[in-house]
Amino acid sequence: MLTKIAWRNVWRHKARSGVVIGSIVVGIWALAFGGGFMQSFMIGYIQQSIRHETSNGQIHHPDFSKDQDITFTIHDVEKIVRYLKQQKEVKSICERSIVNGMISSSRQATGVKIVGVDPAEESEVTQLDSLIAAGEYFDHVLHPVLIGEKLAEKLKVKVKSKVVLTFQDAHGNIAAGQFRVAGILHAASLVINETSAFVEREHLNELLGIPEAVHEIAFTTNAGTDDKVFADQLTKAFPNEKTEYWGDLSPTLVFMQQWMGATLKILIVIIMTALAFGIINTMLMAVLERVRELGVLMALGMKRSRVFFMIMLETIFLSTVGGPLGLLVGYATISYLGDKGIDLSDYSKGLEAIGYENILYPRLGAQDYLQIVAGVLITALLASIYPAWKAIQYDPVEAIHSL
Amino acid sequence: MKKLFFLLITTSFSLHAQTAKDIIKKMDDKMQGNSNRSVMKMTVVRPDWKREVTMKGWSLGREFSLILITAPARDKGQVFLKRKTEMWNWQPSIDRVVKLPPSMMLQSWMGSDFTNDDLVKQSSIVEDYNHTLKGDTIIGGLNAYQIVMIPKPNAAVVWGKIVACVEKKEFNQLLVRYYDEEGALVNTLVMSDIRAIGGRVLPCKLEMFPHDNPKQKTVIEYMELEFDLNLKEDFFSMQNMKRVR
Amino acid sequence: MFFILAWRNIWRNKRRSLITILSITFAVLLACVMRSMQLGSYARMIENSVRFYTGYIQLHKNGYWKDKIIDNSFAYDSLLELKVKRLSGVTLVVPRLESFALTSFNSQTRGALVLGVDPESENELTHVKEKIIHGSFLAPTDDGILLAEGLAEYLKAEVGDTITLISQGYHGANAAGLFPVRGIVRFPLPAQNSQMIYMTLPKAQWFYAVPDLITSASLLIDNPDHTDGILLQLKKQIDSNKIEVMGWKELVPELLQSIELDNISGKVMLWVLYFVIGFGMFGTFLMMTAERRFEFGVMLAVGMQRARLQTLIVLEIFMMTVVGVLTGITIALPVLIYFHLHPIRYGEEAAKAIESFGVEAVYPFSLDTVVFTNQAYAIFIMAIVLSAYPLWTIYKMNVVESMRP
Repeated sequence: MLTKIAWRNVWRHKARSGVVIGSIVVGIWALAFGGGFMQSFMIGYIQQSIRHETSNGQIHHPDFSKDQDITFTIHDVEKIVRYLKQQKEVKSICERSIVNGMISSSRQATGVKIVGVDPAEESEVTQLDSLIAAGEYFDHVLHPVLIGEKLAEKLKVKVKSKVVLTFQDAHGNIAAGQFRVAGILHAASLVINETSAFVEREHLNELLGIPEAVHEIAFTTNAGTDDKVFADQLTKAFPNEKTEYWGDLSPTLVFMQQWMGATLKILIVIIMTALAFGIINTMLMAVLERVRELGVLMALGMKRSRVFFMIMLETIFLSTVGGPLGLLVGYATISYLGDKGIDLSDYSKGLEAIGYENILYPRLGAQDYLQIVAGVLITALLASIYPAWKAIQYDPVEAIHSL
Repeated sequence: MKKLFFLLITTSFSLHAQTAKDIIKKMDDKMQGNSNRSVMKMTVVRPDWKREVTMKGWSLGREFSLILITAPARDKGQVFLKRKTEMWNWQPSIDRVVKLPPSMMLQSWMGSDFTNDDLVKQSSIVEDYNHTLKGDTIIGGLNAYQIVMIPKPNAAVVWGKIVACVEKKEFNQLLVRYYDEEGALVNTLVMSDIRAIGGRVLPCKLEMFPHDNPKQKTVIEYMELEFDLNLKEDFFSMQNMKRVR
Repeated sequence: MFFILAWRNIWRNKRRSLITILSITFAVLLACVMRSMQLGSYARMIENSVRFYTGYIQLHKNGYWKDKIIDNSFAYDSLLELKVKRLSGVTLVVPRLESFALTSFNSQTRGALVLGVDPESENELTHVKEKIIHGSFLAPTDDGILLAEGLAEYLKAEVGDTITLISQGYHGANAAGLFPVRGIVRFPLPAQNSQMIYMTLPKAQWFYAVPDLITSASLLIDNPDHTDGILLQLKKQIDSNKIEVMGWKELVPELLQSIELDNISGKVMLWVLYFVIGFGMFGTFLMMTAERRFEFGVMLAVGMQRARLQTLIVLEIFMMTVVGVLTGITIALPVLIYFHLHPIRYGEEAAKAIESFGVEAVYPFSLDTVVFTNQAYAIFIMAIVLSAYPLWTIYKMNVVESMRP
């Protein structure tokens, strides 16, 4: 009986109900969009570094990070790589040899970190090939080297220019080799931009005099992997080597993640509050408008508690319409944008200049949707308690006479 | 700073030849010598300052050398030792021998008029280049061969081309121009003050001019030079670093 | 006449007007809170970076920033000092002599970044004293050094040990010396933690054979917003051929970029908030219109022109908006001041990660007037735009139908 009245009330005042439903839809949409956007933004920010620099995790000789001595190579590389390949978490793996030395052109010479990579593996793990701004990614010139724009500028070299790399080999001798700049990299990272030179690992190892040298194994993981947990698992499996996840490799990233995460939380709280006020205001208006009507009901003998319950029931009905509708709109928006991307190039020309993707692809998990919908519906219900309670405070007689 | 000395100790001295490669080889052999002892002065000239360093040097072939700084006061007594490709430094003020990592040797060379390739001398002017006799020229009234040297494809050399003018009679280098791969002049090395020293006729003054910075140069002058001394490998030891005077 | 009518209308239905005003008030309040937090966090990012190292403004010898070698150092003489210190807003000048050196202890050797500082003013800028984990801070005339933790670990050196530094000094002079370790400093940034060495400025000048010169003077100023103004004044007063004057935007361009980046997301979130707020306000306007259909119908029926009625309504909304916005700011101001003085702390996990960087783990709130003016303006415009709905309703209104109960 009460249900019926409530249901009818909902449909009798189309505009009023529309506004409440609208508030719920807007709330869910706003949170889905805002949350999805911020998450893609944050992830984009961190992912940028993970993708091109740290990868999801790295394995080294335990002493390598303290002292990048070329004799600190990883033992049992094959065993580790085989193990990694068997793990479902692992997406791609690459092996590198690393030596600090110097790079010189006919104009300048400077210190540099020389990284020997397998071009195919490397492009899978760090997408190094995507950073090429000029020239090619390890083309077929003899002994190609890739360097960053800043370094190229400093050395005054261009694509195809000759450079000489000099470093100490495994026997303590100074080794030098001629290389040709195959490509110039454009990266946000100062490390890539200014102090790295990428060469073919096989050739570097030849010069180093350690044919199978691997100083670093970097790997990427599939989405949803807890990289920290996975790194711990690897540490247990290979206690003689040191496995670190991106957070250990770059504490700054953890800092950024926490900073942005904390900010996101408070932004969501503010939006939720705005939403709650919107709903309270609308409900309050709706109830006040119905003071006379509710007065009549009470005068006819309807108990205050039932009137209160009726109003709450109306809200529930409105929510059951608004909730799915909002979910649909939010999901559609996120799916559409997740597919097509949000182009931010109009907002900041600087984005791409710093190597940040101009286009964001927001994504939300089922859990996020669930939380948003639940949050908004609870907000709506809570927000209707005050107006409903306010409504039943009226004296029926007074209520009927009020306009 | 440090590596410059090894270059200087072993630069430019002569004989007779016909093909371009022979000419360069003769010149190179002369500058490699076997052993020598020298006293020299280096002057670094910059637009707003100038610095003079005097030093004594000993060398044995290409692999061993020892340098003792004698002035200015602050640097006096400092010794550099090079054995093959390793390098040490001894400072009396701290009484310590420190092995210099390659990057450090480079750091201290930043801004010098001698490029890394000059200094490290990892490459051989004979083996790493293809030589062509371009013709004859006259420099400062002396007849000279003009020889163009193009680095071999795999040589660890930063230059695109080197043009050297070698005096015909004594096989001394008179002028060397260093070009990048696009043919732009980078550095010019001028050798002058040719006179008898240590029983040979040699240019005693070397000046390096970087083309991009016309207001700066580095000048080396030999005051004394002796050849074919009875130096042994053990002269170039860490113990001896603290003893040489 | 209209004003009085509109004013009366507002007070005739106090409750309804109050709700409308309240929705505007909260809109202003929330927008202010959000923007204040965003701007506060940028200010915090700048401050942190500046506190890590650079200062808001730096002076160097012209050309130093491009080629950071010790030869590019300059005399920070009394004349220059006078020029800088006379500028209002400059609270501190931190002189530094910075260069590289090879550090060596027993058999370990490694490159390091040497910073010659005036211990007191350096500490005022970067709070380096708080980062000491062993030993003590440098005394003003100390001949010892502070070692970064990672470097000390590598060298296996402890407080009390004497380490060797070798480098090339001014104009190629020899630089070598023995330095006792006074303290070990822990830096949150790995790059700093693995290579920093502090010594007093006179000692560094002695070591590098630099005659009373410094490589940089960092300025701390009372209000970061004045950076550009002070920069401009300095550039006017100082011979740019000799000294380069650079603000943090030039010194740490990455910071500016990441703030710009963050600001994009901040603006998007602000628009999401506007959307929610806007819809809330629209809801109240819509309800108000629905509620007053009868009233509007009567007024039109008794011969009031639609345009006049519309003007009346716009006036009402205008008045309510003004009241709402002003109330919003009046409430926002003490709220923001409170949060500015008593900031909210981050959650524990986040706080730990952030504090390990020497950054206070609180939400900073900005009290920049821009926060208030811009948000008040935005909400005001929004309210006026939304008033189009009742106007449109009146325009479309069928008088007879509207008067049906």
